[in-house]
Amino acid sequence: MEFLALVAAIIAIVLARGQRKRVRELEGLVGRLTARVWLLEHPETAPVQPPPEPAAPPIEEQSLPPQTLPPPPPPPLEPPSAPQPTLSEQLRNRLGNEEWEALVGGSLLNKLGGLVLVIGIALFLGYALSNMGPAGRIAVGAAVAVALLGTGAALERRYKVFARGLLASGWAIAYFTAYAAHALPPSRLIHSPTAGLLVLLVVAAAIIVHSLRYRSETATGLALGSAFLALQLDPGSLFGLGANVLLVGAGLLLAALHQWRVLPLAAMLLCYTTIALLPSPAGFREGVGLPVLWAFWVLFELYDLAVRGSALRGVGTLNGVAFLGMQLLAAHRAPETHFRAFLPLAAVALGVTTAVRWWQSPPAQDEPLRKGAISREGLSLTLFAAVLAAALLRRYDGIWSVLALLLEGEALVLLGWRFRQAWPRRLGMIVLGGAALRLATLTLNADATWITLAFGAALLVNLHLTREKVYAPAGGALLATALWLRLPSPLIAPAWALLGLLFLETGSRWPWLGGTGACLSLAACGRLFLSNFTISGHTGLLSHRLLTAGPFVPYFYYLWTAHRELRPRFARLCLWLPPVLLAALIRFEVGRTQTAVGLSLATLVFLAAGMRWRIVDVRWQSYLLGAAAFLRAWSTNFFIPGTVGGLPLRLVTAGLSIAALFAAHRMLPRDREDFTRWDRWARPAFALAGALLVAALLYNEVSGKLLTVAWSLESVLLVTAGFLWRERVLRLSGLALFFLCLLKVFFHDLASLDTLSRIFSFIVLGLLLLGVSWLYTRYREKIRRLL
Amino acid sequence: MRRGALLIAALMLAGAIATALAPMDRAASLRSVLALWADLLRDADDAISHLAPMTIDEEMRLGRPMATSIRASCPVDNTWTPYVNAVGQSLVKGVRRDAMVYRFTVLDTPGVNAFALPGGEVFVLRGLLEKLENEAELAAVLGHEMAHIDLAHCAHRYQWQVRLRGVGAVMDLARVLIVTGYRQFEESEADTHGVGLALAQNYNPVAAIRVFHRLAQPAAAPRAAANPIEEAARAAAETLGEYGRSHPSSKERAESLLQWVGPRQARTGYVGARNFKERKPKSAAMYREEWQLLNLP
Repeated sequence: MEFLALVAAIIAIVLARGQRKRVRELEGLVGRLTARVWLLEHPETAPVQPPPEPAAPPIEEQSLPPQTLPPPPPPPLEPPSAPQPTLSEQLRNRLGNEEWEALVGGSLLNKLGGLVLVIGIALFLGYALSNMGPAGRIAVGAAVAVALLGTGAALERRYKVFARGLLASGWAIAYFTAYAAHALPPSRLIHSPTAGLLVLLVVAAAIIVHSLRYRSETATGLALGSAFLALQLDPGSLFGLGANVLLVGAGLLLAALHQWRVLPLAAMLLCYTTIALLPSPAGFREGVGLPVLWAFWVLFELYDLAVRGSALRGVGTLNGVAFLGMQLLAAHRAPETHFRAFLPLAAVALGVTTAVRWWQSPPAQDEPLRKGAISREGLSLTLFAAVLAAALLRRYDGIWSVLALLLEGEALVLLGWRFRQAWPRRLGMIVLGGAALRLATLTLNADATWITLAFGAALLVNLHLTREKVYAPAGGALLATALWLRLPSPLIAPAWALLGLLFLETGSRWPWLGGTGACLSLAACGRLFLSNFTISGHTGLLSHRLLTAGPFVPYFYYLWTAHRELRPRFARLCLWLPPVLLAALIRFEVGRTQTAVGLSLATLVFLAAGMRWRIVDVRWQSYLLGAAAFLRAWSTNFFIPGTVGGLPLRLVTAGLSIAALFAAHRMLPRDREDFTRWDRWARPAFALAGALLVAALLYNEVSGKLLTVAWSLESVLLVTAGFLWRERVLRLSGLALFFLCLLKVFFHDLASLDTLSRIFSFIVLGLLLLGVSWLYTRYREKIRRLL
Repeated sequence: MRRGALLIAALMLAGAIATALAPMDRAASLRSVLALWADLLRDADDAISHLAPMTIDEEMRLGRPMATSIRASCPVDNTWTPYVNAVGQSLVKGVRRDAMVYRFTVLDTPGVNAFALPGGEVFVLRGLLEKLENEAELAAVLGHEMAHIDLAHCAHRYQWQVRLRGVGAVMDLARVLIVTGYRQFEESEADTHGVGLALAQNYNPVAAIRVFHRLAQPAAAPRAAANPIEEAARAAAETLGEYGRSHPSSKERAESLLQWVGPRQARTGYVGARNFKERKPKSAAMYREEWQLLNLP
């Protein structure tokens, strides 16, 4: 009771504030009108006006009530070219033909009075509860209701607005009295629930019938609202909530019949707020509130379907959101088992209403998806999809939840594709994204292979149907995951590469697959480093490393040739990957030290290819491989234990590496039309690398007494080769080594070697220096030409 | 599909099928990347070191005082030292730098370890000897430490200090950061070179694998990765964890030796359990029954 009184007081204050403002506006208007009338009656005091236009009708005065019009129609004060209604016209249009004071006094005060009266009577009944028996209380209620209704009916012709307020109040009290006759124990006169409900039905029917006579949304709304609030005296009981349902049903029926717009919205607000405020013990805990919530949802949904959303757009969506929101709010108060049944049931219900909406107004085909312009049907479908996804996630665990979401998403996409609707396709994409996220959070095992595979295939089908590019990488990733699940570790990279190749090959027909194919190829290449280069198995003579990683070299060369025009950057990357893979393969196949030999031979192969096909990138690869071979040879000193064919293995490997570097030097011409500056530097660089490696080899093999002699002989060979091949860097290397030998004999050999070795070193070095000097003198002219 | 694509696909399929015919490794790790990175660091480090190599005399002059101070600070186990030295000297025949003079000492401490210093000084802790069962296992341990000297791993650690005196110490400090990247690969190299030295003296190579198996700690099997991305992330994390390690795990070392020994060497060789028990080296007393075929663990 106190709550009602408080609510009434707040409403009264708000209304009073609104009325005060309105009174001020009306007073201002009256003041302006009085001044104009005075001016008309005393034209001599008016300012000089331009001569009036002849044929303009008096607009302002026509809208005034007949009794306020002056007898002769005055000339228009404003030109007819400005037919904008004035403030007074607008106000009068809004007020109709009634005087403002009459309106305020007769209509608004009347309605306020009705409301206050209902509250007063409710307070009185509350008071009477302690002083009267049930019959007396009901009799008082009925008497007040009859009195108000009778008075309202009697005054209806003379004081229309006032009478309507009385009638609304009368109906509200009648409804509450009927309710109290069964629901409130202190005034329980009717003990049978059926009879109680019947009485309520009769009163509700009477309200409806009576409202139909007036067709006033305000009057009916007040009546129903008052009755609704009156029922909150005993909140939470099944009967009270049932009575509310009945009332709301009646109100929505009337709103539908009369195309009323405000009443459904107000009713929805009232209904769901009531549920939200239901006290816990009497509400959801005992399972009372949930059926009523369902009943409200059904009523508003039926209303929206009946009016097809034309009366008030968005009622259906608001209803769904409020319904689900209330369910979420009630989640902690509802019985444990409630949500198990609720979500599937809600999904079915929302599915049915969505289908009906689509059947009622099929959307236009190929409707573009614009931001903020989702149709009523689209919103309904969104709610349905969300609830269905939640139901599926609650029902299924693990990989089965992924399958369930996949089926839902796929159904939405196919629906959108079949009916050419963008929004269902987008919704389907979102649900499928959710399924993919769910999959990413699971710990997958081989059992999940087929579902992952189906998922990937479904996305590729969607790609084909909808042309949405996002499906390509997602589908590719899922197929790759399925392969990862099913195959042993060393076979994953080849499988991904084959999938990538398939995508790239079909990319000419479906270009959006090409990018995914390229990504898969590169992922496969990366995967080799994860699980293929360090494996140790063998099949026959061939290692698993070679069997699985080896084919990647021709694979990337093929991709380079096939995609040079279409994807130049990807193709160039494909051109650079084979030497990288080859170098890694050599490293893990033959070990760290022997890699120098493999890299040296690879240098020759790449150089030959780069020269033959005039590909700058391949020549660069050969230079880099040569540099790597030199570095590895220098740092490892070719040290490998063991022999081959009676020769120490280290000498064989050193010989091969050095020979390859000198061969590379011989293969490169001094200049060519397609050579860059770096190409011209490569030739002497190869020769110098070979010379340095020979010197290092001699240092390791003959270190000690004969090192000076060995280096001196190498110097002679270098100078001679420099003459023969016309390579200045070789000649200079030879001379530099001679100089090093000179330093060595004076600063090291003199102090460290025994006498005979020292003598031998000096003699040999001296003879060789003389010989070289003779060569330079003998062929001075030729040397000048060479320089 | 174009003909070239079909040929490539056929080649790839053939490789995959041939691989599937034999038992396969299933592990995924970034060890290959770690190995390539270690190669790069080592090439850079060794290439500079080889410009001013340390001679054997210099190395021995460096190592002797260090060994003397160790012997002064820790008691020497004279019951084991002659035997261990005899076994070690028998392996010297196979070393690459044969001018190096090797000396083997057993320290009387319970630690399970062995280490080498520049200049041929090898120390074995008594605790390690208690874990061994035969002379072949001892030969594998000594061979490993000798390999560190023979392959100049020890000398490289002090190279800049010797060459450049005060500035060299700073450079050595900087070098530690580089060496961290490949130190465990030096250990693997020393393992195979050391087993090679023992094998050259007809010791059974399987003994080394059995030692590492015995020393390996049992580890819990890791949980399977949930998806390819988790697998790659886990491999990257493990690789980072392994980066700073000085030695590979005993399990990895055993597996690595198994790969090296398994396909190329017979598993028969001298075991010397009785020699080890009696502390009589094979070179002094060879027993017929000690030539055995050992099963791989």
